[in-house]
Amino acid sequence: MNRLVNAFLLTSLIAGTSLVIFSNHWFPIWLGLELSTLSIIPLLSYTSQSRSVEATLKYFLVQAFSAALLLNGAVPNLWVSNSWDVNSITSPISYFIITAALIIKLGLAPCHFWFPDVLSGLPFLSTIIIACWQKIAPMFLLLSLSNLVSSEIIIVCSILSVLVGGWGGLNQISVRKILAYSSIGHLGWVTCVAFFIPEVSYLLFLFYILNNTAILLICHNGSLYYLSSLSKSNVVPITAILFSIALLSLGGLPPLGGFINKVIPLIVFSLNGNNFIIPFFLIGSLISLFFYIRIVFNTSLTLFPQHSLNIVSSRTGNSSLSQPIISTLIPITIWGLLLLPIFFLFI
Amino acid sequence: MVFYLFMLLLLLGSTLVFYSLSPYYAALGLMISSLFGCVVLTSLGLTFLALLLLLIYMGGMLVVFVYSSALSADRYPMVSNLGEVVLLFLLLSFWVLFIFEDFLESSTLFNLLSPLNDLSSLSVLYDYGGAYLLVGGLALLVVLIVALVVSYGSSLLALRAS
Repeated sequence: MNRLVNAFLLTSLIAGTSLVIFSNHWFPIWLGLELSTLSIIPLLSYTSQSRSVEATLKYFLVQAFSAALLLNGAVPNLWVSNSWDVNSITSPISYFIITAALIIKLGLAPCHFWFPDVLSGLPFLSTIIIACWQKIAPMFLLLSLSNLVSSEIIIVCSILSVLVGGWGGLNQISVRKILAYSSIGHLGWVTCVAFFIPEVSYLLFLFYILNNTAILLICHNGSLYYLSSLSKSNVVPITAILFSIALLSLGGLPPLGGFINKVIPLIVFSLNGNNFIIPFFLIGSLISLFFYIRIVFNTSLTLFPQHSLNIVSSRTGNSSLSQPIISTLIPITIWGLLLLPIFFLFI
Repeated sequence: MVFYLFMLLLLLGSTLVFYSLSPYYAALGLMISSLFGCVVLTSLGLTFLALLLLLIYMGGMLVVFVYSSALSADRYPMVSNLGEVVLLFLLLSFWVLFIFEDFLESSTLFNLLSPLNDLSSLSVLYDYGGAYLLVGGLALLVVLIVALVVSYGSSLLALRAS
């Protein structure tokens, strides 16, 4: 696509998300959500392959419907409280409708069905936009609503998301679908703290974005679209090792940084005496750890007999634009557990 | 009661939109729903918004949409299962009529002698809400560029995978 058009659409995408974050009135929030949805359509479908076009259409329909539902939910609040202000949700019906719209937009369970379908039809750079950047605006809205009204619907949806993210990714061979289900599970972990301390959710969400972006960029560099291509891709050797460690960090193993996404919700739950829901989260993340280890296994822990010549290139990807970004994000992924004391500012 | 009838016809128009198998009758449903939306707005006293809707939406966008869908859609347009639509519609209208009978005696009907509520608040859109207009204009520019980029390069200028 033309470079100027590409720059214009990326600028309007950033402008749309910023409009959502910086406004107090429901109307520019809706406007910003629609603007970001609209400006992303050519970015997703520029290859004009049938899979990308289908994924783009599905994404657009889901996002447009949920944005309309959001505006529709802000109107009963206007009826009751005479105010378009985001910080004055006085009607429980409007809170429920707005939360439902945001859950559809984020892809939390039980409204997660569009997410693996959309992600599996897109190339990896578009996947980064959908899975990381487009979650910023609805997550921000959900967390700023949780500052006002604590409702149990978020806990129910996050438990369902973690379980769905675990069980859904078990039988997949497409790496994009696996990462989609892992993203659903991670968003479950991120939003579960919103019932108690919403400020901490921002921290967990930031960590989720950094972790996910690192892995998706490595997959983009090596074109790792299916499990079968994991063992015969030519990547820089250090990338193969760091990819495996970053995946284990995504799964939440303790000395790595991804553990921060799991230990902070567990601390918050047990400090609030809410020990009953902890096993659901642990079961879901244990199952998702299995398919992360499956990817690690297929990448660097086995040698397949049919791949008799495994060419390891030492020059691939050294000069691409994503290499310095990967180099910045991977240390945060691995050493991120050192950031745990920041959490203790919020208790 | 008349107000309720207008809103029912609005619902009939939008039902026709999603029950029709070809966009030809869907455009007809859009016309019906926008027309009765205008009538509902007029009966509430918001005459300027009704005029705006009629001129711009129905007189501009829908005309273009109807022509383009008549050019590019099916040869034999049809509405699916009209009997089911009519039955569901009658059921819904009589059910609401019998349950919400007190609500239907509305007092906001034919309020044409009230001050111009919509015009006096429209002026705020140009005064304090100038930023909304600018952002709205930016969004429309983005829509134009997106529509052009999406339909560029195909032979028949439709959103299809080549």
